[in-house]
Amino acid sequence: MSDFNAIAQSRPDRNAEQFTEFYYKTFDSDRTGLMALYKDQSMLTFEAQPIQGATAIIEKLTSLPFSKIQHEVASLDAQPSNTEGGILVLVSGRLLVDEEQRPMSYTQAFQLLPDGQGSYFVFNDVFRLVYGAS
Amino acid sequence: MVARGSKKAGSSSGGIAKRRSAARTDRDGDLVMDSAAKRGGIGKSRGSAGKGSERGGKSARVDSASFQREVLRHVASNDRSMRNSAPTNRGQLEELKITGWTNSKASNTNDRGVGSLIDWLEKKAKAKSGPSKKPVKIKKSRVEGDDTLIISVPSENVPVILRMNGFAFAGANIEIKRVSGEAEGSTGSGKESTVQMLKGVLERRYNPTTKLLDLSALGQDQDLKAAQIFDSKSTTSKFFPALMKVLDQQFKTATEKQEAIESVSLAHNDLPNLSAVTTLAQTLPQLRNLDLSHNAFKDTESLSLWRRKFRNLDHLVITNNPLEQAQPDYSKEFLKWYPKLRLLNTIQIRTDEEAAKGTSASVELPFPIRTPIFQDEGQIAETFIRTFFTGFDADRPTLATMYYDSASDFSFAVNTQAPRDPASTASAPQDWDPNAHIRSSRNLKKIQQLPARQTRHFRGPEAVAKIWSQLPPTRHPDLAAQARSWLVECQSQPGVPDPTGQSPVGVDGFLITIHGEFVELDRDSKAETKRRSFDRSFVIGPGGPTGVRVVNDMLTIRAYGGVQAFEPETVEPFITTATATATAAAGAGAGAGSGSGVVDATPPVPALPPGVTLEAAEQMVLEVQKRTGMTVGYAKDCLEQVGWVFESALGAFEAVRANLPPEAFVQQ
Repeated sequence: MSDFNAIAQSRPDRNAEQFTEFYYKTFDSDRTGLMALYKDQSMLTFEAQPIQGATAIIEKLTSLPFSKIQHEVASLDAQPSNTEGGILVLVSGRLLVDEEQRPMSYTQAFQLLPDGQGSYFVFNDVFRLVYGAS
Repeated sequence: MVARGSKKAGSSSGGIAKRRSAARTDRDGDLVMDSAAKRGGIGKSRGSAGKGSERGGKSARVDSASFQREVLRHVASNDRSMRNSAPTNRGQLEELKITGWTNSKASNTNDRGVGSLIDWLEKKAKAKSGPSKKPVKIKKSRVEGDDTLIISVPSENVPVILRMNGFAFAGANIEIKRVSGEAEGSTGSGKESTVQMLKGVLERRYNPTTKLLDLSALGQDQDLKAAQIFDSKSTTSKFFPALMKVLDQQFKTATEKQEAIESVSLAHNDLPNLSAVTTLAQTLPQLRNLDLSHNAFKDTESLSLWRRKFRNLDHLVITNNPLEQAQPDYSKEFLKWYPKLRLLNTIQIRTDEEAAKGTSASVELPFPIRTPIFQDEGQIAETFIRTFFTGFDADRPTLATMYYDSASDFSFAVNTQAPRDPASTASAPQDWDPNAHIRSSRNLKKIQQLPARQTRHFRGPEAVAKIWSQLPPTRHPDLAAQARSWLVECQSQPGVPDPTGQSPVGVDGFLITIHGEFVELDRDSKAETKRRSFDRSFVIGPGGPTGVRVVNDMLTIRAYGGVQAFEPETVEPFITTATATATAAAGAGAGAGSGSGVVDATPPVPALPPGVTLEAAEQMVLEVQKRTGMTVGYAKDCLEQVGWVFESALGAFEAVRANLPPEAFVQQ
């Protein structure tokens, strides 16, 4: 986590970039590593299924029915959304699942909040496939 | 508050409408199924059997199709001789030879047990003669030699008595044969004669005029009884696949077969599930009408082998099955299973237009699609969404002053790599306007320098209105009338900044995520130029002249990608009253006019049996996929068909493996 903890808070755009890079790298290699990014008050809405709490969220993410996954971020934007340094991040991109050659489009909105220790945690995470396959 | 499914949208989403069967007499197949459905009442409750009578031939008012059906039925149930290749005259006596009885415990009486044997035969035969329970009379009997009993019975009783060949009478197995010598039944007859017999069954049960193959009450079929088809488990399980094979052989091409048979009845077969008849789906995949009434299906699960089969099924009759009581909302399942199902029993569950179109997502998705979440309060978010998109299309400057203040942020990013909708011919290559789109796109993947990022970040109503004026004019689909083009979700969001400073810890607001589409218009002619998809996320909080202020507004514009991903698997065509009030209100206003309810607030209902969590199900999909090499979509289908019993899934896969298309497997 050290690299993520080192993220400075002065630049929401940079933070968002580093966050998404770290998030998807971890997601694609070892989903359990995402545990550090969620807290008990975190919410994940995965294809409209609401899940609360870091443990339940990681359970959900690790149980997704694929063994190999690769996120490719195509667009990324971020805005400060909270007086205490919260960031709203909107990502759109492509998902490659297992050996499937056809990517799927997805979008993901993150609401990041400072964790009080110089880093961020995911307060709200809304994931949606926006197209099945191309 | 508008009720979910306003009048207009409700009717197009397949609101329940009773349909008069009389209106359908001009349609092949449909007509047949109507009469089939009606006939379902005969025998159990004559009173509800509708017009006409079982002996329709006597009634001049009965239409010709049902007349033919009744004749056919009569033929099928009573008189095998009419089309039998070896005709025997009704009422004529035939001799049967019985041996083996001398070893019975009853044979130490004066008549060596012949009297009790004849009584026993008559009683058993009567019990076996089907629901009619007609008495079977052995007219004459004589003993020949030491161990042979010759009986004479009316020819119509011969098959039922022959069925008792091998039965145990008072501890002794008896053998029954025709005096002509040849043993009856599948065991004694060669393959050729079995095929001939099955062909006869099919011919007799097929009506070329109505294109109906009537496979109802097979257990009462005299030919099948005579062949002892249902006497052993092994022949019973082989029978239907064999019948389907013979059926298949009668046609040169699939098209010919499809044109010849539009309707099948499997009524009155005591079927508890589809395992015995599942091959019907392979043999007649294009079937339009199916009668499963008067069976023993206790729930839709027991029919799951035919989930996603019969893609053109138009009419299903499922009356007089336990599932009607046990699973009153079964229609939902069938709607989900059959994209073109229009009539369920006598009720129209989809409009003709919808059925013609078919309403299932054709795209394979690894995750179950669920209906969206919409957590609104007092219609705040809903009103905002409605006003926003109308305003964005019609009058952007006014919209900016309504919802944006000096702390409101807007930015947009163009995703130039998003895949286009392959199903849409209208999604021509997306050219992006360097001035309108690209110059201000704040895609952090592309724009690296801080100054460039800062100039693409718009704060305050003036800056927002200005950049909006540079974006091409748009037209978004109507939220109510074209609800299927939208996916709107809303969640409450605590800690939203309060510009008044009265609440330092922030106030409660909403996070709204929207996926949808719009067309861009030419600035001057207002002609449509491009169709695009977009994703837009808002954080809104209290404040401003309307009571709502935008905190964040982020827009992603991408190539038009279609709306397949939003189609919920659970199509909800019925207006439910159970929907929570707040969420229903939100759904209505935000445009859940369509039955599919893009902002439908119905809680997610994955099609999983009780006790199987979504997580467990997904784990199973993964495991099945691993072991079979099938794609995630097929693995999921496979599991669904076996009711998410993991152990059964692999067996089911083996059973259908040979028939799976190449695309069922992950390409190497």
